[in-house]
Amino acid sequence: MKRLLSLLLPVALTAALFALPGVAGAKPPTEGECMECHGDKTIEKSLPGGGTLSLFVDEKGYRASVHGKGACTTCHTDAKAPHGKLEKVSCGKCHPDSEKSYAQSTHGKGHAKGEREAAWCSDCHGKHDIRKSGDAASRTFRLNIVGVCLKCHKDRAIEEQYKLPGQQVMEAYENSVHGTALKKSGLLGTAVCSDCHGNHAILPGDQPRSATHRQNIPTMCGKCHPGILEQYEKSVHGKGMRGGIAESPVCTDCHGEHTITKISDPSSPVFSKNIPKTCSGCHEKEGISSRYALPKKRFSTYMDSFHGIALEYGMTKAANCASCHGFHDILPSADPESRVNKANLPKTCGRCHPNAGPNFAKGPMHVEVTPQKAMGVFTVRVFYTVFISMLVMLFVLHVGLEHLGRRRRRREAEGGKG
Amino acid sequence: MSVDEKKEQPRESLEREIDAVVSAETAGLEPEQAGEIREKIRQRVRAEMEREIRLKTAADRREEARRIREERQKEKHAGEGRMFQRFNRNFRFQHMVMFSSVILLIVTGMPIKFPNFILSRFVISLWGGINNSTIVHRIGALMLVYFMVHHLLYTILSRDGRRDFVLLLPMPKDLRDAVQNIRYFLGKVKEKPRFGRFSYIEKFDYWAVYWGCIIMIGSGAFLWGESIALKYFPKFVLDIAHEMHSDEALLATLAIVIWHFYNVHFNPERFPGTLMWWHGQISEHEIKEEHPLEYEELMAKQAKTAAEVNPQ
Repeated sequence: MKRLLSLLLPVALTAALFALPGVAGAKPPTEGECMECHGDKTIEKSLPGGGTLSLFVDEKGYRASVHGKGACTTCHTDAKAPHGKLEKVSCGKCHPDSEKSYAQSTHGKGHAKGEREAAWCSDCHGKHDIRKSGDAASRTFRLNIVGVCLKCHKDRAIEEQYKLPGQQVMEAYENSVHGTALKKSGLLGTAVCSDCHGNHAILPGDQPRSATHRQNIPTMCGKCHPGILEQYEKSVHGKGMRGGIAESPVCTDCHGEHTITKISDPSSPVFSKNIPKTCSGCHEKEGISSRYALPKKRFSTYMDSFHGIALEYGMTKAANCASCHGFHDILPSADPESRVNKANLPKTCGRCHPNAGPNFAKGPMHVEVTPQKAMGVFTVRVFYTVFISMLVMLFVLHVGLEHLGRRRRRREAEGGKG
Repeated sequence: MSVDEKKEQPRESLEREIDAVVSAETAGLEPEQAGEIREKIRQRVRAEMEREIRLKTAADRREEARRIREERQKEKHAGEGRMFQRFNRNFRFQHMVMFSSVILLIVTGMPIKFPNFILSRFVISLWGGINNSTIVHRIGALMLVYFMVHHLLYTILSRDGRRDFVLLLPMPKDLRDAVQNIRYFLGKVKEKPRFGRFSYIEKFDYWAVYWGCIIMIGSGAFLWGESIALKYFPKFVLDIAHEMHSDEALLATLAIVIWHFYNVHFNPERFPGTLMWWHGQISEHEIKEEHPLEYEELMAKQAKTAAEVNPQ
């Protein structure tokens, strides 16, 4: 009897397995068994909305993926053959760190709230065909990331629903120095979305933990531009920023964000012709200049100088703010390291005016025409204002009287005749 | 007599030659017709040869052209009387160099003084941008410097230059003339002031150019050679030069546009302008009206020379 039982049991169990799906302790299906159904390209399920969802799994693509050596049931733990709707795959079982940072991100939080459009692992990484990010065929390969993000972020409906930045922001990236380096030159070293915004832990820029929050921007840009970050950290702007002065400019305040272009591009805010406008955006603000005891009227005095006028007319070799003050390494003139320190002025001016000597430093650079700041220029201006107005008045008076006299004489002559 | 004979000789031989050719060609024609043709040709040849003999040199030709022009002028303006040479060729050339340079300087300079003026950008773009217009400005500057040097040499070396310089010096009479002129405008006196070769208006113009050239060339040199200037002068001196250059430019422009243009071109007697800067001549009518003292002097001189030539 015992012998008979041992012979029958497997048969019975096998029969039971096929006859009664869902019986506890049932053996998970093998890949071959899964592919029996899911290898069929036409297999699909109708959705309540009316559309259909293909249930086809490309086995070749799966085998080539990073998970290709595993089994279907590693992820689809509740799969049996045949089966109804399966539970959502949890990647966090094997990737706990990624899941944790994802949960704190704006996508993760949205997903937890049930927002269907919030990106989930598979939206960026794919499903069965996930590859390593170093693999050129991967969705998360550097050259492909922008496309993956834009799948949702260029969708007008999603933008409007979640009040995301508009299309023009995304388009600006594509025309930016980073975007063209990516698209035209195919450079891996260029900045793609995730380099600035992060990957799993993406947060909006107004949150302090976001990579794109103001206080994190220099560090973030410095990942790729470390030499410039080093200069910036030593500058008055960098020190101010690190000291917690929120008004101190960070990279994006001068260069722009998605719109960053080369400095030789006339649309760049740091193109030579645009620099005075960019700097004066802060330095002409009454609040900023009085709060930080900065000298005033820097912009207007510059625009009155030949440098300013020539630059405005398009002479790009004319000195702009950065030509004298520097850019990443700006320091107050009191600092002996500053390019505009009196001791360094001959060298700074000498970059354009050969043989510049100490006389360059004698007299104000931004000439404010007041008796206190520039007595000589003020005197000349007052003299000429008086002189010109007097002479012009005399001219007009002389010409006018001559006319009146002529008219009077003509009248008299006519009267005499009549 | 002998000179005339010499002239007659080639003429006769040429006439004979032409006669021979005409006879050969008109042999088949009626003698009357042939005679007519011969007479026509002879007259034409004679007129041409006479002209040739008279106009031996280029100078003669120019003189002839001038005479013809003058005759035409006289026919046109019968009331103007004969023409007097007021400005010589050298002086007119100086004036042309100066006004071309000043026009260049104003056109390229004013947009820099008034960058916000609505036409400034357009005027700069006419030259193909600021880089070119600054070069044009420097060309204008060189022309003005040349004019200044030329005029100084003219004043020192030329007889006309020395005479005019003396006549241009301000005199107490100019002040009296100015006062009288104003009173005349107002109808207080019946008589116009009697000006010499240069009225106080013209003297003002002349000395304004002197003053302007000194300031503009001086300050402009500082701005052009800023690196050299800053070797010897502190920066605030350059700032002053910059201010002077800009303000004096405005003054000069206003003086030219209001004072000079009105008095010389736009005043009703001359409107729409005079070409005296081109031909340098003044009519008898005008010189009597504007420079009576000079006219009287000229007449007195002419009478004196005439008396010397024909002492009777």
